[in-house]
Amino acid sequence: MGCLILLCGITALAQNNSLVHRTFRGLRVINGHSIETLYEGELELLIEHRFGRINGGLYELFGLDQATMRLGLDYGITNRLNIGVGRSTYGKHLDAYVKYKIAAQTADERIPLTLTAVMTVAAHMLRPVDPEIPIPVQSRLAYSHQLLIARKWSERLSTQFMPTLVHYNLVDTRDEHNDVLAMGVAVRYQLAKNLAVTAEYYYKLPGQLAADKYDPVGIGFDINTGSHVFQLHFTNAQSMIEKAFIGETRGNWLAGDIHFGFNMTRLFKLKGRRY
Amino acid sequence: MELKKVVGPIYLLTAMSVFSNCYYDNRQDLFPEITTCDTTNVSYSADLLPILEGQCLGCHNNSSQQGNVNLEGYDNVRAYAQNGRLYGSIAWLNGYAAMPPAGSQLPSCTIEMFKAWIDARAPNN
Repeated sequence: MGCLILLCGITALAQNNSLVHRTFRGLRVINGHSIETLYEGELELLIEHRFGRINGGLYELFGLDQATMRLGLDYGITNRLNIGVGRSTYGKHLDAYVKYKIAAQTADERIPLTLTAVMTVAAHMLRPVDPEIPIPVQSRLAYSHQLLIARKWSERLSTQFMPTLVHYNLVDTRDEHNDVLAMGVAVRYQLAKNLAVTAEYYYKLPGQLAADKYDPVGIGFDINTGSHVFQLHFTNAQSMIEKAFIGETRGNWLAGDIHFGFNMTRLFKLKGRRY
Repeated sequence: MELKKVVGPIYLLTAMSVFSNCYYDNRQDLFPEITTCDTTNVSYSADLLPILEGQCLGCHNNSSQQGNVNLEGYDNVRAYAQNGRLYGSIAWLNGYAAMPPAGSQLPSCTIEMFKAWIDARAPNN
């Protein structure tokens, strides 16, 4: 906690130096958050799609016949503080998050990293299997806490580490842990002016959850067209919220349980200059 | 200290307390299985249809056949029972689409009841 306040002190000093922008394009890398935040007064509509498994073959049109999606709204309260809400078709989850940029990398290297804290809460809205046995409200909930640490090495290359704690109020068996620790890593490499390739991987410490819950891996392309960012990717995770893609990914990349998907954003400026 | 500079940490601390309503439950203890699961004389209309209506027909019905699966009506259910896909999906076997999706499998006893009914050649009872 002392470190947090110290960092806030450092950022107060750094406000006069130029900040490094666009470490990642967009608020998400592939499934998880990037260190980027919206400016004050910006509202972003986020539509995320994941189709079915490619190994479903031609009959399922390689997964295009099945789609899960998440609709989200992200808003910048200040340049550093963002909030967001969303709803996923997967598990009919409602989710919300708070994101705070603790420190921003500066051009003169006084601050070499960007640090952003993300806290999310998600609740599934599924009906109980047996109407006689209702699901307690707290059993629907899961939380995640992340400290995103990123560095923009050059105009072409950015990397990010995501130490993560996911807390499930309800897990399946006694052997599974309610607190799941994971370390994520993400890379972005700019190929051309409006095209970049990204990769993201979350490694769960072993022994926390059942063996059929795999680590999420994703690779993708970012295509930037001004006020839209299109992200096309392949991932073994079918959901787009932390508690689900980290702890409930049942797709095994090596078995071809890969989903094609895309993220699409549209930015609205509620305050400040209008288009 | 300027208010703007402490606003951030205050939000952070508030969010951390709001986003931490922690319970440490698991299904085995919270919803203990019935020690005896009665799989004799499983009835389609009395035992299985309520499960299908509550958990399956929302997505797999005549108008919205998600994943190209329609479970509305006994004839449709029997088809999936006989080709193995119904059991494969609800038991989350390899090679079948796990159903219901999203981390909430049907209780073991329910799955056993489906299996007993399928093994008995899926009668319309």
